[in-house]
Amino acid sequence: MAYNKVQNATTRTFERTMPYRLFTDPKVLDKEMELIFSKTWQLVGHVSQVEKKGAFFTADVADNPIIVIRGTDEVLRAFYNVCPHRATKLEKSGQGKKKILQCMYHGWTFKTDGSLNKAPNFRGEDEACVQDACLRPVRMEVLESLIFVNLDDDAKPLAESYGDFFDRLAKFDFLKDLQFTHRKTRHIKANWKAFVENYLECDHCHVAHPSFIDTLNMDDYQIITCENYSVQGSMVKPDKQYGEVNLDEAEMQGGSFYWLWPNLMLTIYPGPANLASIQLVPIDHENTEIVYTYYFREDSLDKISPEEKDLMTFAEQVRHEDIELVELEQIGFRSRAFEKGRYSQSEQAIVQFHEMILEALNE
Amino acid sequence: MAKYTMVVRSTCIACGACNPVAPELFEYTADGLSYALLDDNQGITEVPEDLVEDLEDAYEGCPTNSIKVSDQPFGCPKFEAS
Repeated sequence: MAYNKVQNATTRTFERTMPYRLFTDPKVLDKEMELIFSKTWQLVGHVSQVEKKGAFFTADVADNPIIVIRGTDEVLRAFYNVCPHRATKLEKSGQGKKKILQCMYHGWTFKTDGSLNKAPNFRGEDEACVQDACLRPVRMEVLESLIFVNLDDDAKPLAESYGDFFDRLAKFDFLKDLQFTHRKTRHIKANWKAFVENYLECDHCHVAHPSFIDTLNMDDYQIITCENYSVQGSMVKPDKQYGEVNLDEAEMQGGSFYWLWPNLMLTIYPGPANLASIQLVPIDHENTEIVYTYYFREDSLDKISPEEKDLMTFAEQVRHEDIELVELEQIGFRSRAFEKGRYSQSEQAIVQFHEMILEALNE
Repeated sequence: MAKYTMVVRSTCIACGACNPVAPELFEYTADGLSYALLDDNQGITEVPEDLVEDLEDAYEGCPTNSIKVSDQPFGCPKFEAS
């Protein structure tokens, strides 16, 4: 059995992993929210969700309510989804289409460009006092049809934050044809970092993912650590299939699995044109919501092809197999047994992740 | 089915929500309060079919339920405001 080859961009190595208390201490999550999630680009959606004038969706980024809306002037914008009057969360629904946004507390209304339309309780001379009470904009950038926001006004532009990642992604021609198809969430009883670690190595694939190693050529499986991201994957073995799909004839002949600092994974599986994102949203220090989003050429689950269904089934199986592993890991983190773990030579992408965590937290 | 509309101006808070979604049906007076444009807020003129969707958006978006919609002209004996 061959373990993964790693092209390592980091020069630092550690004999032991970062301490397990970083997975179990509730105060650490507070620091992570402030120093990591509030300062990094977070994927919130796809342009296919907001194509029409007034189309919007809402999201939460580091406990901040966000709204992304295409204005009546067709410009896409992101704002804090918060009324400037009393800080009430403005739009309650997850998605929709509106010509005007309204706060349900005092009835303030805002145009789709974020400017104040009317503040009913400020009339006459008082009206001038709130002329500048607009929705607060949030930095937003769109690359490869993916919409990212960053709560840090001083953050580096998205394309510069992840080395050559977007150049690499742009090589997949089919991405421009994909649409938001389906989203599902899953609650796991583990710290968000445990799931990232699980994703960043494939030593466990031989033990935990029989269908995965049966399909992909593990002798040629590679993990490459890059600037603020890593990529792993290989080609499919000859004569393999998902369900009834012959992968020798599929549009994608290989699997590419990306991780982007801190909490985003993007996967492209062998098979028909596809992209999926996996986002880890901490609920607390020992609970995480995993958000899985699928992008295919169709805009809803009931329109996808049998081949795309088979691909989803394959991906879901691998994900399901990982959940139990990270939940068992969290139990061990909590125990008195060990304070730190150990790295194998093929776990350098975890070294990179730990290095970034320790640096961000000033540990 | 025919639709009629009017604004109860005593409960309107001048929030400005209705005109942007239904500019051909609602306008504001100088004090910012809304009124139905079709017949100076009498509610007796049938809303054109192509504006019914805008009317529904305005009705649903009114935070004080001041926009009234009926299948009968307002003031008729059978009037029941929704």
